[in-house]
Amino acid sequence: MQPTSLVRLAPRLAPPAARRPLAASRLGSRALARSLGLALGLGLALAALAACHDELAPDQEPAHPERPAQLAAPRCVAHQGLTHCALGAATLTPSRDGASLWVGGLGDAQRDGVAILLPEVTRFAQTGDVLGPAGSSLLARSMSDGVATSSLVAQSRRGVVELSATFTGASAPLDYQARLYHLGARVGTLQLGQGASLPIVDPNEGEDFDADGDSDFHIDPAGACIWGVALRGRAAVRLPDGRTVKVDRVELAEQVSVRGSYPYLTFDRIDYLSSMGAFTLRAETTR
Amino acid sequence: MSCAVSPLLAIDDLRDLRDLRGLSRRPSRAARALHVALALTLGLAACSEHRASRPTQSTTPEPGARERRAASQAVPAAGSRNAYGHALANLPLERWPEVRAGKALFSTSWVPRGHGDRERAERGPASLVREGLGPRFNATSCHGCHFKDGRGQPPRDPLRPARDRGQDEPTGAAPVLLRLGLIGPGGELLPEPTYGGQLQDRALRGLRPEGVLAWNLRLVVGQFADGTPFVLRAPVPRVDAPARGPLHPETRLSLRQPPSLIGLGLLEAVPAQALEALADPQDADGDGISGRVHWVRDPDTGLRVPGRFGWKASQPSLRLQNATALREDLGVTTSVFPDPPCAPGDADCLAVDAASGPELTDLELLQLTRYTRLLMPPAPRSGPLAELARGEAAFTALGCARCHHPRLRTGAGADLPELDEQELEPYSDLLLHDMGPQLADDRPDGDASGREWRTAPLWGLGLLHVVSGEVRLLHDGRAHSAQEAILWHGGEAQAARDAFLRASGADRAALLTFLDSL
Ligand code: HEC
Ligand code: HEC
Repeated sequence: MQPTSLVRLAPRLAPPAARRPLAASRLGSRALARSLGLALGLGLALAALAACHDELAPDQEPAHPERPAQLAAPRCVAHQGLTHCALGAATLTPSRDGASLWVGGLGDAQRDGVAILLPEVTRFAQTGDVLGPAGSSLLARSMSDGVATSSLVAQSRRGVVELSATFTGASAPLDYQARLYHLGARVGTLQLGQGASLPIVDPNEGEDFDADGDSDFHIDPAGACIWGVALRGRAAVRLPDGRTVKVDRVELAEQVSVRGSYPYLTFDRIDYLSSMGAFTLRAETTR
Repeated sequence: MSCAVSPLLAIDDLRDLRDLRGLSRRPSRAARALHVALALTLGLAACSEHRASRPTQSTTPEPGARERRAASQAVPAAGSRNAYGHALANLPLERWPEVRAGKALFSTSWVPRGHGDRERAERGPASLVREGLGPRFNATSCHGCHFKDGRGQPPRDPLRPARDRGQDEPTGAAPVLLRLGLIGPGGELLPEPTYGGQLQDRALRGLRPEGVLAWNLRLVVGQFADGTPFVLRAPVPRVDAPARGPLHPETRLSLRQPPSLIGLGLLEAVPAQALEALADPQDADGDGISGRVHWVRDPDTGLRVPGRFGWKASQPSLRLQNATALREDLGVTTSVFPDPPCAPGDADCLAVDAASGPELTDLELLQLTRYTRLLMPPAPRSGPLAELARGEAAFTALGCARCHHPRLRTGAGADLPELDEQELEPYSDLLLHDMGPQLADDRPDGDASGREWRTAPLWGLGLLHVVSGEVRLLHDGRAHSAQEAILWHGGEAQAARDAFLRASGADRAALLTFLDSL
C-alpha cells in the first residue's frame, strides 16, 4: 500500500494561528496612509512630510524592505534546507524527522499549493507524490525573477494522466518535445503542438491506473527548459499510431528556436499547485 | 533617499502655472489658491501612496494587421515581463551562445574582492557572481538598473526574505543616478572637483559612500483647453551627507533614469547620413523644430561620429556606453577604462582598489556589447483599429512625428548581418532637441546644451509597465504616463504640446491608445 494514500485521506489541518501574511499587512498600512494623507489636508501638511520621508518618490517601493525579523511568516516552513511557502488555502506540515512535508488544503490547482524558494539554480528535483488521483490536476511552474517561465500540467482522469507543458522562451508559440525513456534508454520522441498533451496510461489498459512519480525541472546548456517526470510502477505512453510503449521517465522539453528567443539562464522558484486535497514532498535536490 | 513636498516649491509653481497655461489668461487668485491647495494635497497623497499594479492590457494580437514588420522583429508573448529581453528574430544560430554569454554578464552580480565564494554559496550553485565591484558604485549589476532590459529594479518576491547586508545591498528604490559637473570658462563641462562626473552613492565597506542622493518634488499645475486640470511633479535633486565636504556651489546636477535597452543595435546601425538628413540645425524649414546630430569623438578611432546613446546622445557606440556603465555604475574596469572609479584626490578610494588589470576581459566586453546590440524591439500590438488610426493621425497632426520619427533603416555592411538593411520603427530621430526650461538640467554634456535631449525612442512604450512594473518616463523618470511626458514637452516641442492641450478629449485618448500600442 502506498503510504501516500493515507496522507491524502487525512483531515485538513486547521490553518496555523496566523499573523497576517506580509503582503496583506503592508497593503493595509498603505491604504491607511493614503486615506490619512487625503484627510489631513493643508494644515497637517508638514506633519505628514515625516511619513513621507524615506520614500523615494510616489509609486516606488519603500526604501527599507522588511527586516528579517518580520520574515518568519507563519505560512513558510523549512524543508530539506529550502524555504517552502503555502499558496492560496494550502497548509504546510513538516514531518518531525524532516523527511517529508505534507501540503494540505489543496482545492484549486490555479491557487492552492506550495512555493519552493530556491537559490539561483539550473536544476531542481523532487521525490514525492505530486501526481494526483483521477479527477485532480497539478500545475507546476518554474519562476525566475518573479516571472513564471514555464509550467507543467498533469491532468488525471480515469485510466490516464495527461501531461502538458508551456514554455516562454520563444517569441511565438512553438512545438515542444516529449522524450520517452525506459530503463535509461530513449524509447520514443514525440513532437507536441502548443496545448497538446502526452497521455500516460497503464500498459495493461487498467482503469484503476494511478500514476505517481517524482518530478524535476532544469535548464539545459542551450537554454531550453525541461520538465521531467519519473514514473513509479507501471506506465506507458500511447503513441499517435496506436501502439503503447512502456516508460519510466518522460521529459517535456522546450525547443530553443534561437530566433527571437529569451535567454534563460537560471531559475529561483518552483511552485506546485494542485486540486488533489493534499500531497507530500520528500527529498529535494538542486544544482 | 527621501522626498519632500515643500510648500515653498508649490508657491514657486505659480510661475510654472502661468507658463503651462499659456493658452488662457492668468488665473484668478481664487483659482490659483485652489491650484496650490490641490497640488499640495495631491503631492502629499502621492507621497504616502504606492503604486497599484496596473492591469495588463488585453488586446488580441493581430499579426500583420498593423505596420509592415522588419525581419528582425517578431511578436514576443505580448504582456510578458520578458517582452524586452528577446533576441532579434533573425538571429543566426551561431550567435545564440554569445547572446547567452552576454546575458550572463548582464545579469552577473558583482561582489567585493574576496567575497565570491561566500556569495556563490549563499546565492546558489548556478549564481552569476564575480569579484571586482567598486570601490565606489551605484549598483551591483546591469540587471539591477535595467531589470529585464527595461528601466527598473528586480521586484522582490513577497515570499522571499530581504537580504539585509548593509551598504552593498540596494535600497529597493527605483534606480536613478546623478551626474555632476561644473561649467568651465569656455562653456565646457568639467567634473565636480571632489566627486567627479557622477555621484556614486554606494561604496565597499570601509569607504563612505560619496553622499545620499535625494530630491524635492517640484509641482506644476495646469489645465487643458477644455478646463480639465492636471498636476505634474518633477524631482529637484540634491546630495545629502556628502562624504568629503560640500559640493562646489556651482555644481550642476542631472538626474538620470535608465532607458530601456531594446533595439539598440539597430539604432547603432543607422548610417550617420540618415541622421544628418533628418537634422535641421538652423530650422531652415521654419517649423520650429531644429534637431541636430550630437557629434562626439569616438576615442577608438578619433573620428567625429554621431552620439546615439544616453539621454543626451553622448555615447557614440554601445561598446563605449557599456564600458562607461561598467566603470561608473559598477566600478568594474575594462581595457577601455582601466582606472577605478575614484575621483581625483579620492585617496581612500584609490587605496581600497587593489585591481591589477581589467576586471572584465575584452572578449567579455564584446559579449556584453553583443547582447545589448541584439535585443529585439517588441513589435507594435493591435487594438481597436479605428482608435489606433485616429491616434496615429493625431501623432502626425500634432507634430510628434517630426522628432519621434516613425521609421529608420539600417545601412548595409554591418559586422553582424542580422543588423543589415533592416526597417525599424523606433519613433526617434536620435537627434538633440531643445526641450525648453522645464526639462532642462542646465548641465551641458559634450556638445549638447543643458536644454537639449535626444528624442526618446517610443518603441516598446506600451509594454513598459509590464516589463518594469511601473511607468517612468523622461530622463529623470518624472512622468508617470505618456500624457505626463507630453505635458512636460517644451522648447522645440512646445507647439506639439500646446496642440495636445488644445486637442479634443477623444483625440487625446486616441493618441494615448496609439502610444500604448507601440
Ligand atoms: C545605477 C544604474 C545603472 C546601472 C547599474 C547600469 N546602467 Fe545602463 N544606464 C543607466 C542610466 C541612468 C542610463 C542613461 C545614461 C545617460 O543619460 O547618460 C543608462 C544607459 C545605458 C545604455 C544606453 C541606452 C540608450 O538608449 O541610450 C546602455 C546600452 C546601458 N545603459 C547598458 C548598461 C550595461 C551593459 C550595464 C552593466 C554594465 C548598465 N547599463 C548598468 C543606469 C544604469
Ligand atoms: C521637438 C522634438 C519633439 C517633439 C515635437 C515631440 N517630442 Fe516627445 N520627446 C522628445 C525628446 C527630446 C524627449 C526626451 C526628453 C527627456 O527625456 O527629457 C521626448 C520624450 C517623449 C516621451 C517619453 C519617452 C520615454 O521613454 O521616456 C514620450 C511618451 C513622448 N516624447 C511623446 C511625444 C508625443 C506624443 C509628442 C507629440 C504630442 C511628442 N513627444 C513630441 C522630443 C520631441
